Amino acid sequence: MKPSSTSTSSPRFPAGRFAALASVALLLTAACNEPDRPKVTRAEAGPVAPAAQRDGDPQRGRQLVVNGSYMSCGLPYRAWQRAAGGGDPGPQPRGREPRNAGLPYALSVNSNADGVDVVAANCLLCHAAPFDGELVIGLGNEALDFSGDSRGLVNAVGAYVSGAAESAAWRQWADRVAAIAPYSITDTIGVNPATNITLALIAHHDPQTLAWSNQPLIEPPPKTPLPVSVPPWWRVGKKHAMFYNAMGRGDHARYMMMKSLLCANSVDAAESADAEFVHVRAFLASLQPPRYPWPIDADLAQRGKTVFEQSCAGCHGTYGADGSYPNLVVDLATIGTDPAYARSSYDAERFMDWFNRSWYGERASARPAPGYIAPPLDGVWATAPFLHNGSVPTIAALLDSRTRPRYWTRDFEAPEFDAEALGWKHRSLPRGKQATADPLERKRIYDTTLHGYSNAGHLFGDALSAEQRQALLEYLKTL
Amino acid sequence: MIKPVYAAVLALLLAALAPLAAAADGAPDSAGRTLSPAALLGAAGDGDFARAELPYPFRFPADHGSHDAYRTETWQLFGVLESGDRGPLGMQLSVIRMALGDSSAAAGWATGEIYVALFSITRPDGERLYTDRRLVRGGIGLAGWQADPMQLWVEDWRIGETAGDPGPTSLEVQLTSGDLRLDLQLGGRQPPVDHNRIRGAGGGSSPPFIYYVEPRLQAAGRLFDGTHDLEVSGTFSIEHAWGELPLPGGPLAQDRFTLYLDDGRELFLLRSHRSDGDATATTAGLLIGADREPLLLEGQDIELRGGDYWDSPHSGARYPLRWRLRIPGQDIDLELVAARESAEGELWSPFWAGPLRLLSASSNPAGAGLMLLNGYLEP
Repeated sequence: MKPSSTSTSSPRFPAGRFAALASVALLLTAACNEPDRPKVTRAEAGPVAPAAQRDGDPQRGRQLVVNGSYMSCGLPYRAWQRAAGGGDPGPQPRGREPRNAGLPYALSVNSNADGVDVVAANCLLCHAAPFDGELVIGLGNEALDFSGDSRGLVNAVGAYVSGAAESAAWRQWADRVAAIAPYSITDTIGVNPATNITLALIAHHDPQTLAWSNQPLIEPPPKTPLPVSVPPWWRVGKKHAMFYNAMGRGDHARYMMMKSLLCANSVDAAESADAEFVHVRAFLASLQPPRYPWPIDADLAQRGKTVFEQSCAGCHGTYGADGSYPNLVVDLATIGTDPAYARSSYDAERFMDWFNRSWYGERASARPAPGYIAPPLDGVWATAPFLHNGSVPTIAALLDSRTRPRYWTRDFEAPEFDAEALGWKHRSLPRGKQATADPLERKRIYDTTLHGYSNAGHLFGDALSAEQRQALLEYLKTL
Repeated sequence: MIKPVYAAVLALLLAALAPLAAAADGAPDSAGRTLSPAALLGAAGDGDFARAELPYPFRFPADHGSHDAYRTETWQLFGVLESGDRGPLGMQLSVIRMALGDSSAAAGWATGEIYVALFSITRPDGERLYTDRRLVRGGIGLAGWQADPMQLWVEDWRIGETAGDPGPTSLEVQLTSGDLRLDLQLGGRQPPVDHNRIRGAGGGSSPPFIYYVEPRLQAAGRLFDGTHDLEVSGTFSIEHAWGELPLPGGPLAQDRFTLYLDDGRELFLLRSHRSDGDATATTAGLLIGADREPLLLEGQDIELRGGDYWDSPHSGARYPLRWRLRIPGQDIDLELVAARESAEGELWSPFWAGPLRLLSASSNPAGAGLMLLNGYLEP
């Protein structure tokens, strides 16, 4: 197979139309923050200390992930089927339970407390994606469309709801979506608003009781989400802290389960979810990246390994049997990448405070660092686009900042993998979003001049020769 | 990456059922028959029905008729009539076909479907809205459809092509209800704007229904309301959909706006809001250009805010009768003003339906329209 023409096309399920449900699945990239209060501690740049994680059963965790059985609320299944059911559900991961038959892999059905079957997005909406014709669990889906208002979909399905029990289930879901939708509309397809979704949910929960309030209890986040690229799950086993700015310290399961804020309105409900998510964390920590599916020039890769160990390993670690990963947060001045995401944590003290005072803070703490953690690079060749905001379409461009496109677009329906540059085939554009009056076209343009979307920084590859960069690219295919 | 655009089209159809959707149970109809919307919902079959798929191979005139393999189907007429000095009159006629069971069910009295027809029109004397409804079994000649010439009828209500019309270039609408009689000719027909043409409406997802619209038909005819015999003329649109259509009994109510802009564009808006009054309303739209090119509009494209409330002395419902509409991407900035206050009617539950005046930002006339408001009783 010729990789440069390989379609990694999205599955048949219409990911964008699940945007409302989607809101649910994104919350593995929660955020929080601090400043003045002594009970909240800022972290420093530099190495992140390890934190003990609870044991869990990876197989049980996998079952939970592929079946989404932790979701106790959602859109009434019968109404969903009438409004949006039917059609080819697309690829299905191994282990899907019969009750989920006919649903796309990113959706799961469960019974709520009143016995109403409800359907909601599961973690795989954002954390699984097709690559080379295979569904890869743990690969971030970078083609989701959050540019729409998910309340429209909720109301469209609501038109098919009938009866008191279904209506009550729908209202619960509609309340949640109404709370988060205004803060989750991106202006670009392919970027993820997970952080804002989590913060909006936090704003509607009491930190002590976790009770839901239709009115926000603290000021919600800014309405425009900062763009985030979905990191691959197989990094979890190496990382001491979660999130790009390493603020997720302590017990990782407590962060992973924050999506339960959508449905859980009490500490008891959260504790039930917590008991499940220790297994989910164990599953994520057990994941390994896919193998590069096309030929690799071993000699060139060996030369690239030398370059890597001289130029990259200090931050990103070493690989192979004796590999090590330093868990290093690089300060903003050194890394130079878009600072908005890291700084936003410092502007959101109320959320840090909420987390650290809440039941979630009993085992974990929110401690944002003034920089970004250099990620492990296992399977990095599959994880385009690059940098925390997804602003660079290929590793080749990441290693040579002079070639990074200022404005670019790509095929979201059937993306093509670029085996030369390691990333998405894309098209550079002469002008940004303002150049077109077509709102649909605007959404498909990644405009690095927008706030939070900059492709600056990480200039370490600029000093390499073209030959060194080519060798380095070949080596990265082996990780 | 696919957009949920079908939902916007879906939304456009809901209003036809809105008088049902917002209804309370158990009120008798004009013939004294008791019928609850919940019973209607229960009547909709759970059999093995066809599922809509796009692109759909439209074939006209056959697709003007019924599609019995699908669970539900609607034909809807919305329009505004002028009658000399009596001001604009708003009219809606919705015919709904619901399968009771498997589409392979028997014929005659054992037929597997029912027809519901809902009608409202502004009274020329300005009093409350005139409303009526029909509920009949299909398969025994009381309601149905025939191909040549095309006729859709529910008892004595009829929409059909004129025999011998070679186009066919026009439709006839005939309604009687008590002393009221309406005869309309809808001319200027052109090929419908069908679901396949609506930009983005396919998108790889399976829509719940198939849809087309015949926009901006020119209406002319006579209205006799028992007192006045009026010559009327105006603008209408006809929408037809089949597939999985919403049924009554849910938590939402819908407001519908059919707007005929003076610049030749036609805009359908549907605003969905919760009948318990909580949370956020959403609005979807379909804009048909003067060149008949359709464009779906999503929630964030549309700003629609209501005000100038009118309290019904009959039901206690509180209706917003003046709306500000902004669609910046389409250069639309309008005030939608109810042409009269007293336009409340009741088909199982109270609703407001009446003509609109469209005003530009500089308060100049910019068109006409019809507004239907549902779900404004205090929860």
